[in-house]
Amino acid sequence: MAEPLLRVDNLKTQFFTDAGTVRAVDGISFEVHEGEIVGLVGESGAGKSVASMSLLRLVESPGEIVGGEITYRGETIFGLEEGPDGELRERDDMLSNEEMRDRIRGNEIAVIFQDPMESLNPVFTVGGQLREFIELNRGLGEDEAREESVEMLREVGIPDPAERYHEYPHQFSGGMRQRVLIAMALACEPNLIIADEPTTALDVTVEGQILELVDDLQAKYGTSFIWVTHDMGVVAEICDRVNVMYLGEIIEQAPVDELFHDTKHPYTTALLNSMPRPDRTVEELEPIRGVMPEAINPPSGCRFHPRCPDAREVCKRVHPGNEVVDRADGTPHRAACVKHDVFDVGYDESVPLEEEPQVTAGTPGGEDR
Amino acid sequence: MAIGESQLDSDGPSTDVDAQFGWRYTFGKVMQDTTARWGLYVVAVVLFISAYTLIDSNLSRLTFGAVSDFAAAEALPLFEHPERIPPPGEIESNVPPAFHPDGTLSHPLGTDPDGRDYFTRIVYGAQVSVSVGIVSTLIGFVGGTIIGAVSGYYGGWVDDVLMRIVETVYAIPPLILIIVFIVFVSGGTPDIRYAIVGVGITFIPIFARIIRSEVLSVREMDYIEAARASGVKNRDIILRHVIPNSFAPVLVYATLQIGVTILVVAGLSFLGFGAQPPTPDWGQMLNVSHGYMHSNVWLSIWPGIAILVTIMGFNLFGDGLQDALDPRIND
Repeated sequence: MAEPLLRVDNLKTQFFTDAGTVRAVDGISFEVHEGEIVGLVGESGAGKSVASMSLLRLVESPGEIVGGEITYRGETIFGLEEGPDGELRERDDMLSNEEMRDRIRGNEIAVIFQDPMESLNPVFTVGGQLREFIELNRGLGEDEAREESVEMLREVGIPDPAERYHEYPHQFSGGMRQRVLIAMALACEPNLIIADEPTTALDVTVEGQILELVDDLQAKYGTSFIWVTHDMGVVAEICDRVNVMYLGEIIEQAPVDELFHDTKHPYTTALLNSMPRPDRTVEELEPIRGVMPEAINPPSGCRFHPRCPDAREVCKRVHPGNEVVDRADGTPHRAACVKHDVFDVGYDESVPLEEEPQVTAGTPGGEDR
Repeated sequence: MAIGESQLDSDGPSTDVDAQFGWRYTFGKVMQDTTARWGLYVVAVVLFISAYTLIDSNLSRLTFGAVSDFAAAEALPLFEHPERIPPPGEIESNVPPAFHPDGTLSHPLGTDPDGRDYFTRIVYGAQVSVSVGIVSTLIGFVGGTIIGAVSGYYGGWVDDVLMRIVETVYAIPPLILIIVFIVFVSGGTPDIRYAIVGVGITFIPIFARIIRSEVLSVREMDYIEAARASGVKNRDIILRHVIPNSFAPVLVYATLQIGVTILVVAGLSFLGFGAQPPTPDWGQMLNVSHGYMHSNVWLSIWPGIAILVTIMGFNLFGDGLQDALDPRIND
């Protein structure tokens, strides 16, 4: 396969808090190819948003990217090397902060945020913000940028774009605002758009419209997307390949059909089972046991084992990497679960864990630790 | 913000929401409040008088040419000259106001010890007070906004350093700080300009702290994050996104601060560190007149009333503005 648009290799982002080090993103690797929509799925707190912000080097203090490599079209967004003193230091070929700001953010990689209510500056008109953004990133004159903004508003399906250009964000509904944000993200024709739960704040009908819009625009512009969400339904709808995150790690990585029909990780199975479906009542719904432990002190071994229905004794000891467990049409299907033969750590002989250790918030791991 | 859910959900433009946030709405809200309305009237009158006297004295400048001639002129086009002391033979000093049995209608508020018409001087005093109030407040406002916004936006050591400096300045009693500033900068010849700058600088910390606390919440908004993610420079984020959204409380505070500034500068003039004779300044007039408290109490009362009414006006208006802009009261 051709060189990927974006390659993330063993990325680690940590937050250094008073209570200890939070490993929000703990060694994730994935690729995004041209024209593809890649899903980043997981429960709240899995590290999806931190991961996506890390791609733009926009992690705020006390957070810091501490390891790994991010390559975008052959350029190093982040990379470390060992200096002469043995300390890790930033590589020379890493893009400078100015280059990131002027060339990458907005122009090459754009972001659509979760909350359309909050993502537009309330004191300026929608059109003014769009125009300014286009002026800034594409170096157009004011009049050209204005025409372009109206054109973009029309493109994302806002009726009367010339009229609504002069309106303020509070005069737009949530769905319309999300369209504006999409217009803004698309305005500079970036190669990659990171969509951070862009439909979570919208109701389902509007969500459907937005997904359709993204699908159309994606076909038209060939933009790649990283689609961050916790909604498996959206994933099925829109994504080509999916990364499932749990507690800062990617635990399953597969093309979307494989993921749904040949699920390899118990967590993904659990996620799918906990999805409300019309053919099942609330009683039949299977929520995942317990809550996700805090990333500050993750459980030993497999991080999912305290909540995993398939957990065995070995899961407490062995921390599985994300290995290729299957192939479908040449695309690897990766999963981080020792029950697969690739791992060969004696899962089959191991004693199943008691159902008992229920995890509660604040005491990750329960009695296992 | 006081936007109802229903308005957020509606697709079309909502005129209700427009009305709630426009200037006209705010003005209407201020006018509904009786005390704020009177405050606004007073402010309007004081502003009008200042503008009027400014035109008046500039007309005389045009009429008489050079500035030295202006000082020597007997009268301005529309007024008696507020600074000109009459020739020795014509002095009618300490004439009581018109309603007093010994008063005359040609000097409605009487004359001062040097025989100048007190009404003219009071009227001209408004110009000094208003310019002092506005310019000083503006210095504090601009300086404080920049420092507070930078401090709050960047956080970390920038915030620590700036805020420690600001707090150090804040900890010193303002009057002492201003006097020390004036003495150092003026080199022994105090002038109203030094007082204006000095007062402005001492107000920077208050403004800086107010805007910083606003910025701390604004910087967490998604549109700031969105701006950063789309490659906007920090400077532009501060100017275009952070300051406009943190502005309202400081704007209200500034209107309240104008009154305080006028009072402080009047106090400085009274102490001899502000306006110097023969400038017609209310504080400076109090300074001169307190020696005549027993013989002619009117000399102290008129500038006192002028200061009181002006400050009241600005404060009442500022209070009304605060209420009008406060969404919790708007419902």
